[in-house]
Amino acid sequence: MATSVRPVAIVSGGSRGIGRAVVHRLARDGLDVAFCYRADRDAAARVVKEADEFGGRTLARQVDVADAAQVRDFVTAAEDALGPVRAVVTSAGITRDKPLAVMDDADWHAVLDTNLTGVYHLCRAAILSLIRQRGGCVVTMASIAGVHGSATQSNYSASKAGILGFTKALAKEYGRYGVRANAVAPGLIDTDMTGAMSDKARQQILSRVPLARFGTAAEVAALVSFLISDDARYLTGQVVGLDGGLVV
Amino acid sequence: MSQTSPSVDREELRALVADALELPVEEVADDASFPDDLEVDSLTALEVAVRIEKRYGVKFAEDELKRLTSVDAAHALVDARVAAQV
Repeated sequence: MATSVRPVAIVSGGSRGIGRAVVHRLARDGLDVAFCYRADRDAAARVVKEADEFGGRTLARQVDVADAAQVRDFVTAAEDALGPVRAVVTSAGITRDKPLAVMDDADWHAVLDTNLTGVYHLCRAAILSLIRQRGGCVVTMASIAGVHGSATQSNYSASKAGILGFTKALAKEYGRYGVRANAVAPGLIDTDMTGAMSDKARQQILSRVPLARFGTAAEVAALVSFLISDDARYLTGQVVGLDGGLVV
Repeated sequence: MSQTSPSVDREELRALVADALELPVEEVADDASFPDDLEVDSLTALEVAVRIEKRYGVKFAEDELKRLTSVDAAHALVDARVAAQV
């Protein structure tokens, strides 16, 4: 197994949006980063190139996080190439918004499989490594939708609410090993996911945000960076909101 | 370290297990089942496995972790692993 003086992080959903910003930020922080992405090979290659400029090593793999075997292979490849994983960031997520009354079963399962089961798969594949090191952390990307619910997003809200319970359970199970687990609950963040909203919808929601703007992926990544850092060494089992005051 | 010997000292292993379980060593019989006889919960069993891994410089596969349910079982697994390393 390769060894590294730099801590190693694995990130799901690293080719776009918040995951991409997390890869950049952690590379800038001095970590070696392995990330997986679902489809966009060119975007992933750009992320690798950008992250490499910070002097560390970056590895990208195309993975469907809903597939346990693919995720296990990804984690094994990451550890073989970079060394034992110290931080796990789950950022892969999709939406299939519809009112429940007309939601297709496929839309329900696709969102739960990627957003929630994908988190299980990644953490399941990496947790023994953290236990053996007696330290490390997990940061899961939840959402205010998981805390408060969101209309036309019963599938997404359920998946994100599931992440909260999962994360708190991890915090309780593995605190004895010095492993921390926290969830981030972003509000409205400027990504391609929210970019699909109409201008009218954006303005309506913005009117409810005290800070009167969308957040940025870089701001979420900065919070992830803090949660991974030693400065957060007594912080575990928490859901940290980042929403410009939307739910105050 | 015992890696130089293909045979793991059973009493040393028993003492390690007893320490991890916070039990007197004489209560940890060879064939005492961790969950059934010693009322060891699954998380504590994992702690035992991790301590054994560290002490003997081995890594158990996941199916082996599940089979690590007594001193006898642990001794057999560790002995085989250590012997394979020599």
